[in-house]
Amino acid sequence: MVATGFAWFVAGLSGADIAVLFSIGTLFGSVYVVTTIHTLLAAPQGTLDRGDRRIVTWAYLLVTVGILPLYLFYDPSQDCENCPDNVFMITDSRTAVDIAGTAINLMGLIIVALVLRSLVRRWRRATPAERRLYTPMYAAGVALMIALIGQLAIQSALQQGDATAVAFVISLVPFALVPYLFLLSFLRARLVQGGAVSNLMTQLSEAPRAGRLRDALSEALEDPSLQLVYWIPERQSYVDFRGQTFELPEEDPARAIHLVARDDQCIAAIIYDATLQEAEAHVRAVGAAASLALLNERLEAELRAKVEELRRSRERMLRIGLEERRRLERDLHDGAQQRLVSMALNIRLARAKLNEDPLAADQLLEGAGTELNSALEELRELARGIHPAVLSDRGLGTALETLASRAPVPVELAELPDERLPEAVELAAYFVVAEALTNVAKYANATHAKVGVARQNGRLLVEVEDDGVGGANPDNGTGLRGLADRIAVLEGRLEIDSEQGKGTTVRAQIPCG
Amino acid sequence: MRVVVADDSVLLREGVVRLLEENGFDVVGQAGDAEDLIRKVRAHKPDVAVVDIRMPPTNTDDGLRAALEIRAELPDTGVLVLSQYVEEGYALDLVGESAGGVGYLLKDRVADVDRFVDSVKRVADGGSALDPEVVSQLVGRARRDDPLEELTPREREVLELMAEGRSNNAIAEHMIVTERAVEKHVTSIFGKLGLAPAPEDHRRVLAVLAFLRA
Repeated sequence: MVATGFAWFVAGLSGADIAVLFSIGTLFGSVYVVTTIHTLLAAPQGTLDRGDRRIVTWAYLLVTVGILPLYLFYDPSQDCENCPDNVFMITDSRTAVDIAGTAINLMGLIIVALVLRSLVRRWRRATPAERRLYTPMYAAGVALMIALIGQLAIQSALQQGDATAVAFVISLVPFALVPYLFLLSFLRARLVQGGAVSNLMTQLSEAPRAGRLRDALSEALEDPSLQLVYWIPERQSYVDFRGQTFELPEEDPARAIHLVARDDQCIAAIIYDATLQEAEAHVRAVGAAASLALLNERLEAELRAKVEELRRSRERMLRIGLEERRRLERDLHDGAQQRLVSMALNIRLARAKLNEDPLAADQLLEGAGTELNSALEELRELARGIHPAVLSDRGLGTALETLASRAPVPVELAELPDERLPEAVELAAYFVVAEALTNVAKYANATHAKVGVARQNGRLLVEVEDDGVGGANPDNGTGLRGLADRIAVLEGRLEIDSEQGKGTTVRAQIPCG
Repeated sequence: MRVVVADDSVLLREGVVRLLEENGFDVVGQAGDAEDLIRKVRAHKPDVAVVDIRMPPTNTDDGLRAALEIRAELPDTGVLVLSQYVEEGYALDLVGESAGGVGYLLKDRVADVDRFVDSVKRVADGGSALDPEVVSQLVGRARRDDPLEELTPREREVLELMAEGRSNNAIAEHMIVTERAVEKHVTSIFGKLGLAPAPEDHRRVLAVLAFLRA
């Protein structure tokens, strides 16, 4: 824009009396138009893209080199009597001047048309926010171009005269307006940004309800597609304000991601429209302004995520509980209960036969005794499955030794805790090993297994490893799933490593104080 | 033979007492919890105490702990522990360094009167009585390069009966073979497992248990 000012002065030289200055002034009298075009096309980011750079280059060439032929043959004394000599003139040739003048005007028209096209195209592509910001600038540009087209067209048609002068004066109006409108645009951009941040601050101070923060940011950044997610370090994943897990978009050119950090800790990610001009700095400012609120809402999101998880786990526990009850009922009904009924029948029959056929009565009682033993055995196993007595009596070490000795494959007990742990922790650890060893027996086709239980940093680490076929999937079947829930209730974690053909490792971490 | 019976379930305790008295035992004391048991054993110095494993005050393995205390304090008093569950860990704890004068049986074994009475007598005489289920658990434990695979089915049976604490005579009677045949099996088993022969029944129980738990 400053260059335009100087170029304008150069044009002013055409009013000078000294021949050399007059000649330079006349020759480079159109440069200011091109610098204005340059400014227009370069706004708002200050650089030109490839197509625009070509247009500007051609325009500069036209008003400096391209215009030369015209002035080699132009004698200004024909148009005005007081004008000094044209020092560039070789010979005075009116025809050459006319031909060159028309050609130059035509080329000028083409360039101006191209600039106009470029401006219109850019306007079309602009986001609503950009449009609102840069409307004055575009309007000035378009008006100027239309005026220039008008001026050049009239010039070409009439060559010279009053109409040319009128067109020139008209074109000066938008031309003079350009810098003011530019200023207006930039001021508006600053104001909108500053206003957005201060609006945001006001909204944030009004204790926004859940999810309102996203809307506030979306409004501040004028990006309706904006997404806001929170980083939950404990889960190593992002969640939205409802606590649902969220995956960041990967390599999506349309979406840009800004990570908001506080005290060197990532707290949230703002995912916004990547095409927003100048958005990065803006997003950064908004993110920084909102970071405290983000921290708050993250806590809330984390809480929601936990509640959601608890709700689901409670549901599963409930279902597992019901399933277990049903299984117990079935086992009792099909097993012990049937045996007791048949025993009662045998005893009654035996009593009836006691006098007339003592031998038959004896056989019946014998049968009743066998049934009784079986019933007792079944009840014992059932009770063990519900709660192994040895666990509460002797603790994890002894209970796991029993489990290991009952397993159908050799089990190596690598490490066992001596001390007693909270009952719930012992029970969970016991069931991890029990379930894992059951799976080893059922599916793994293993030749041996290894069990290790160690206390580390306030956590009980339980690991069961086998050398079987692997490929276990916790999503299939209720066993491992139920185990994961049992452990989740204690705020612990269950991991299963089971690559096909590489054995299975079940690993549990249970906080134990 | 003088006996103290400890069980918190009065019904079961009375049943056991009646059963023992009918079979010629002299029940000198009855206890309903672990402390009571120790007090009565100290006072009466019986030949054997028949103890339920789960008793007050904590209703876990108080009976077992009392039994261990009695064994440490009064080595001449036999202790037969009854349990609702078979836990080899309990059995091994109870036996500890010596299988003499100690027994561990499932509670339902009292229904098989003859065998139960025999077990009580054995323990009172300084022998051992381990539940067949405990033994079969120990024998059946999965091992790598299982040396028990060397044994014939017959020898395995003898090994299990031996581990229960039975004498050669009792084993012969149970398997309906001569005592001589049992002796041959025993020699062969000790040879195959690389164990030193033990003269007394309860010593060979310990040897076999030590081998099985390894």
